[in-house]
Amino acid sequence: MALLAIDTATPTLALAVSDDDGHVLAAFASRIPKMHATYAHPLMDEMLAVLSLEPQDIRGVIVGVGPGSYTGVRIGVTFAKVFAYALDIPIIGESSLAAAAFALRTHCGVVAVMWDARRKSVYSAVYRVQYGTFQEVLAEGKREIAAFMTSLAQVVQKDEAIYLVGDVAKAIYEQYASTFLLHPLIVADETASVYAEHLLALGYPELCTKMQSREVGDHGKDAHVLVPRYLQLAEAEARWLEKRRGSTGNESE
Amino acid sequence: MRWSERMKQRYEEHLRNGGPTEILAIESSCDETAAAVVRDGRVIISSVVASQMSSHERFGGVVPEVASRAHVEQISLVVDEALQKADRTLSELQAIAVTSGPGLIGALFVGVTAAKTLAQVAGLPIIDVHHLAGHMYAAALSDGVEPPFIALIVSGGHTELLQVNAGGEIIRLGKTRDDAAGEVFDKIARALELGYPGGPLIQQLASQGDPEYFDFPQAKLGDHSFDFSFSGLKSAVLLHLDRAKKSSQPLRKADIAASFQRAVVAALIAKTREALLQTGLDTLVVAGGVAANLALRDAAKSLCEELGIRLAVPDFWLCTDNAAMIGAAAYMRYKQRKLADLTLTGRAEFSIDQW
Ligand SMILES: Nc1ncnc2c1ncn2[C@@H]1O[C@H](COP(=O)(O)OP(=O)(O)OP(=O)(O)O)[C@@H](O)[C@H]1O
Ligand SMILES: [Mg+2]
Repeated sequence: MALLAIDTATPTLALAVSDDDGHVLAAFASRIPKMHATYAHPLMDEMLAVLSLEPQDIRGVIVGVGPGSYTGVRIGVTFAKVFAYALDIPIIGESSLAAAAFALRTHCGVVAVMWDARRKSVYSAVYRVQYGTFQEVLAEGKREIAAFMTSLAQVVQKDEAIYLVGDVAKAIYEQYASTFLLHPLIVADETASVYAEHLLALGYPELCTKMQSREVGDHGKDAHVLVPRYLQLAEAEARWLEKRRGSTGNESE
Repeated sequence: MRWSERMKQRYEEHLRNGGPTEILAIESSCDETAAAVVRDGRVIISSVVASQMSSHERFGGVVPEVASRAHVEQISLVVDEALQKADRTLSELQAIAVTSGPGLIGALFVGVTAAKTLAQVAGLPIIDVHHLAGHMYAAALSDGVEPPFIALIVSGGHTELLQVNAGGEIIRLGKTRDDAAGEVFDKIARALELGYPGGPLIQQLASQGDPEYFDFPQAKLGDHSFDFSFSGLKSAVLLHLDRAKKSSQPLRKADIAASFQRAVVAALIAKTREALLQTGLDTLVVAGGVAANLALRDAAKSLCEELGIRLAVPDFWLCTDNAAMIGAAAYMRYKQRKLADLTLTGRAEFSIDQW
């Protein structure tokens, strides 16, 4: 019996399988952008074969629901929800940003995750880690880089170490090192990556609760409502709403 | 055991022992999330289509990102409904088929990913289906037709004239050099301020108009080519509209619609006739969204009566995107051992003769 974790929200394609206790049996990550749709299934097949497992041995799924690449995240979410539906097993979605930060949970300080979201903005969040405890201190959001750094300055405590994580971490480090002179400022990961073993560890408690608390026959239904967290509307939709707001505004004048 | 071994065991056993072939098919290339269970490429056991039409209407066309998002929301529900309506479980089926292209890449990924996951879990073969081949084989569901035949495929994104040989091999005789037939219907409908999608609305309006009133030009591609071109016709209609709007004369919308429709149909039929005469094939399939058009259906019928050949067109509801047609197209591939594997992916561009 085993559990599965998958994340495709970043250029890293990440899969992991653990035993029922959450101990990782196999984990895989590759950084070949735009190949997630092609390789997620063959790699999964390979991983299960190495472990002498069948898909039917998987009893629960944890999936990274973004934010991240729209197209990318949909591949993992579709994979995971159809997998859980077909096997009638529980599934939970976890923030991909949180999973990236969770890699540093045994450190001590705040972890600021920032992934390029174009136009000087980032998918971002801040978590406080303290030798194994993990706590969100700034909720995930799409923010302008400057605004994010202001928020980071507000949540960070005196002398606290700041771990910068993400594909813009290096650039931000260079630009903001002087702002955070009183803090140890460390670039912990220069890529936007999620590793599925961390996703698995992050989601494991919630998945366990779900596996124990629900009627067995109900599980696959969770899959239907699972969707990516894009953190923003499709561009056309945003423009449409804006236009409509504009025109109804005029009408009421 | 790996998927390929589990799959092969079942597949070979089924080919050896015979019995009906029931395929779960998935289609998500544009703005419909669809799933169906089809037996032997002929019988629809269930067919579910979740249309996103109403979410795209306000944009005046399909927005790829909006479509992809809706597919993720719908995909497992639509598959579930298709299985429930068919009263089948995955393990009772013989294969999973899916549209891999052409279409919106983000939308295709959702269907292809779902199909591969289902195949992997259930140890079933995966069959890769070209969307236009799906449109074409929709005729098999309504009519039982089998190759060889000439196929005229007229849809929102494509206009193709195909020769399909007995084994299902496809030779492309011609295609549109600019707009697709459905696309011009939609564009002219927009210019006439009728709404979206334009085809059915033009047809409706045309029924009240005089198809001979205006003599809009048909493209003359003088090189014995089977290609189509609709941009000249489109420009002529738009120019006429422009002029008429500037002058104070009332706009003869119904006559414009009817004359436009006549010109499109005439162009389609002329090339189709040449293809039939040249190849000597005795069956014509007309398929795709525009095959729902009554004027085109009538003209195709007259043509086939005149040539003394058989006409196969899908039922109206099978002309636009659905998954049953994908299941129909997959059947022949299943029998011919043309299976895909777990590396199957979406292809935005996918020429039908590469299928
Ligand atoms: N009665 C009709 N007369 C003319 N055109 C029609 C009619 N009904 C539908 N159409 C046209 O058919 C098109 C939709 O067909 P279909 O769903 O096959 O296209 P699509 O799937 O968008 O494109 P493709 O299959 O090329 O990717 C639209 O352009 C629509 O206007
Ligand atoms: Mg279509």
